[in-house]
Amino acid sequence: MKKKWLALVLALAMSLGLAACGGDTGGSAAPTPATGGDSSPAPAQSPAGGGENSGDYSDLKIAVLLAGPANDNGWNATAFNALTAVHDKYGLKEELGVSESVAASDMEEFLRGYAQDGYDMIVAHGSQFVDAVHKVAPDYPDSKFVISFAGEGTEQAPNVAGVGPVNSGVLAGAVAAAASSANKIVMLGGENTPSITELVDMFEPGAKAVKPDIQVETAYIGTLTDADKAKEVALGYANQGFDVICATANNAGLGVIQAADEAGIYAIGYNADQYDQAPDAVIVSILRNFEGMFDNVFQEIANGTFEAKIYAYGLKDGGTILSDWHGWDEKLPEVKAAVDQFLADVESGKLDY
Amino acid sequence: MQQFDKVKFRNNMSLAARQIAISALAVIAALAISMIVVAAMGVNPAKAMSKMISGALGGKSAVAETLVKMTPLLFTGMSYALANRCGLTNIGMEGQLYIGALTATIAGVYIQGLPMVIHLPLTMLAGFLGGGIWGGVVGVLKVKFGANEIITTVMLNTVATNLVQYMVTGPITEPPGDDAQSSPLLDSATLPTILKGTRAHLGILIALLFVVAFYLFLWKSKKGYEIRVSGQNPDAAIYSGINTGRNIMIVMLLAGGLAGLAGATEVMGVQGRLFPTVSPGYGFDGIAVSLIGANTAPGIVAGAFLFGILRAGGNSMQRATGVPVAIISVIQAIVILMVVATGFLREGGFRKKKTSQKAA
Amino acid sequence: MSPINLIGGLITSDLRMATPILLAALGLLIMNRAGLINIGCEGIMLMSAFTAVAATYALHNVWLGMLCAMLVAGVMGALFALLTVSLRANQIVVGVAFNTLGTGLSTVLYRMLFGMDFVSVKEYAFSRVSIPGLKELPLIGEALFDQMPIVYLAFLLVPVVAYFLFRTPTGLNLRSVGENPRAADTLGIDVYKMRYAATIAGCMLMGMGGAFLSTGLLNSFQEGMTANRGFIALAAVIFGKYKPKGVMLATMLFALGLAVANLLPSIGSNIPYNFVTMIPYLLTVVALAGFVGKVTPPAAAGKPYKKG
Repeated sequence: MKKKWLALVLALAMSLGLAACGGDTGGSAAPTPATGGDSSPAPAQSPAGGGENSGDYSDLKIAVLLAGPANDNGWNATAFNALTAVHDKYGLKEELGVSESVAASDMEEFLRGYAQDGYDMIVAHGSQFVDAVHKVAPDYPDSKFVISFAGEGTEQAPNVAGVGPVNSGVLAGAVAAAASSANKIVMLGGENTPSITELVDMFEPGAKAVKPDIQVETAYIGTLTDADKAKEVALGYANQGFDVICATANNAGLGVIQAADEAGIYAIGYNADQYDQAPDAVIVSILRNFEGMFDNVFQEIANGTFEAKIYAYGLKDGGTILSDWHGWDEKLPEVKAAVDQFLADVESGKLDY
Repeated sequence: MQQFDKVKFRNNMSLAARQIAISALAVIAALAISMIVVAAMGVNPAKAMSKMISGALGGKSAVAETLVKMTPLLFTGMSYALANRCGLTNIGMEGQLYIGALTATIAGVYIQGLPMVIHLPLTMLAGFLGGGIWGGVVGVLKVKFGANEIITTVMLNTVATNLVQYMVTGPITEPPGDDAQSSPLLDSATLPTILKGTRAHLGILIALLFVVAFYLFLWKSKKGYEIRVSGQNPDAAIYSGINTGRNIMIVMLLAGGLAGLAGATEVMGVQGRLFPTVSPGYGFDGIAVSLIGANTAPGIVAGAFLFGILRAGGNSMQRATGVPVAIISVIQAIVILMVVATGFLREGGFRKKKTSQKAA
Repeated sequence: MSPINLIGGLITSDLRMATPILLAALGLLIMNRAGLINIGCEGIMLMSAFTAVAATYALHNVWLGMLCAMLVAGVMGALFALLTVSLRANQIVVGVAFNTLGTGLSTVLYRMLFGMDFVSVKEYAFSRVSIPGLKELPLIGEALFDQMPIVYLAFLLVPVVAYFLFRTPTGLNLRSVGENPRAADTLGIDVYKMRYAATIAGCMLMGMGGAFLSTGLLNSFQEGMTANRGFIALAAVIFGKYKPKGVMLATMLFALGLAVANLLPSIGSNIPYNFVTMIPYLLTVVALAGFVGKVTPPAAAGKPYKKG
């Protein structure tokens, strides 16, 4: 019974796999800088750049450790898609090493395994990997460890760096505030974990920068997987008269977008361009530009200019960007204008994010 | 105290050997099926298998990894077996493990200024008591209120994982509270490594000591004898004046404590601090470990070794071949199903019809 | 926002969220009444949630998708029965293995079929059955007269299952198999056949619940999306004292708890979500301890039976 089922699935998988190869993955957004930012000279560490140095890096090896599944439509998917793009861009011969859902008890084991296998750039995607990286890194000076977390303590060894966008939530808040006519907006986090908390906490400052008197709510849904629950939570807010909703909750975030679609309110996508999931609700998506950032760090590793420091990319460094508006900028010109004004203020230094 | 019966002992041993042999065959069959699954994913099964073996047994650090995985499995395996010997089904080991990790972390982080010789055992004791209380509650609910332990343990698992998640994001989070994790355990509460340059820590030796204690308790003590009698035949136990109710509570306390030690050794020897997900499922693996080991001490060591290989080798296979990590769950499930499917062979199979034991 | 609308929304949300749990719980109830405890409900629901999406995607019909999901669940049920009834394996251990299997296999198969892509079957979604006029009723209009057909079906199944279990000869036989298989056997009831049938039927209901979760509520499959609903269903069976009506009320109570919990953040509550999540599980422990009256499980539940 089992074999037959497998054979059937295998056949299906192959045919679908071929089809999938031709298609484009939605998550790997090109690092196009946000509108309003392209007129000014690119800052020294602009992650949106990259590619000028066209040396042959194809012998280098990249691996990534994720704490959750690589197709979670959120934090882990951004890293997976970004590194896949970097890997493909330089035509690396060795396949991208990917370890998903790495348990706390296994982190050190996986790091050591990749280092022993001679991987040059080992990305540990999340602050929970910090301890394990510091245990392993001194034994493997030739491997460079990159922790996706721009916080304290990440850079204590000469071959360890922290990298990450900061103030990403500010942009979400600004866009949501600009799009709200009821002056009531809400940001929902999946769980109270660092990569999400940072976004949720910065949502309100962003919103207030655009509309100082706006009512801003933030809350945690309590799940990263239960999209059904997230949908009900979001519907609760819609019923309370909130008219723009944003969520960063990996897979569960999809439920929030569906809720916005059903309730006829606006949603702001996160982590990937989520327009396709609800074209009538998602006006624009906020993208953490990990592709640009990893590309930048990869080049530094390849060129021997890697430094043990924190590569923190704020809004004006292009660490966080907007997706395509898919026509919403024409439907809502005043929203687009307000967002452009906000970005211009960030660029000019009037707002420091 | 029971008399030592040489013939009975030998019979028991050969029965155990037979059971373990059948389990081993079941495992091999399960691995064969798993390799078909792996092949269906487009990965060369020979490569996958060799990566699995080399990742678990090929070299010092690989063996060390297997030992690291074995440690919690020995504890949870003993936990399930102990309860099972008393006729109880403890599937709350995952929750007891979480609570044990939580209490050990609290003792290991906040009790300061003690020398290691005191702090280390104290931290382990805290883990034992945490898990023990979590399991003991189940025993009390069963004896005093008639609550089925299978269901209560299932329910308390979710409560425990949520409690730990709340604690690491709230009360015991590492200041200033940006990360969902506790502060690191103090050095005086950290299990030292026993193989230089690897992760193998003292916990494995402690776990093996507990296996010896487990054997002595169940087979050499009066209490252990009582427990086994109550498990095999509760009515006879009551007639012969054994206080089965009290034994159930004691057993659930000890079983919970053993699972708690699995969590304690994890934070003290491997993870160094408490994370919201302490265990990748060691609590549930314990069921399979004790099942393969037929609830005997040597069997549990063998079962834990096997599942240690599956865990360590599975990680290495996953890393080398790029199959999704979920495949390891599939392999484990097939192993468990194959072992239970061959259970009737261990009970005597078709050859001998020993219905007397099973009469309802 | 008026309180009427708030409560109305709550009832609607409650019935919607209760549906997959209720279906699974009815399946578990049937199995339980035949003397079988299935901890593996979560794994079966996950497999069927996956199958429903994959089959709907391939066949362009959400009803066929649900049928396929129920078939897969039925096959898993047959395997469960083979192991626990014929081979007398420990039901709990098999159930735990089913959970591990369902979690792993649904992910592995999804990756094999769709890779890392997001697959939505929204275009084939169940359409709502709404009754014009009645649906405009305040408070209960939307909840009772504007839902997807599966919601009605799930609640209609409650009296059906009750009638079957307590009013038909087959139901009586099924219950006697769960209470005293030895006696049932001497009365000429085929214990094995009855348990096989109950397991397969019960698992198919769980499959329906899993399918509704993915294709009905979300139009897509997410890894681990059941989020312990299989265990909540298990809890509902006990909390409902092994009676269909009780199970239905328990499911609605738990779903109401979830619905209120979901509403809490939007009405400005600061209770940590972890505690809210624990509530159904703690309630079940309390119920088992007898604080809500005596809960008597079928006498032979969980025990293997050997013929002869």
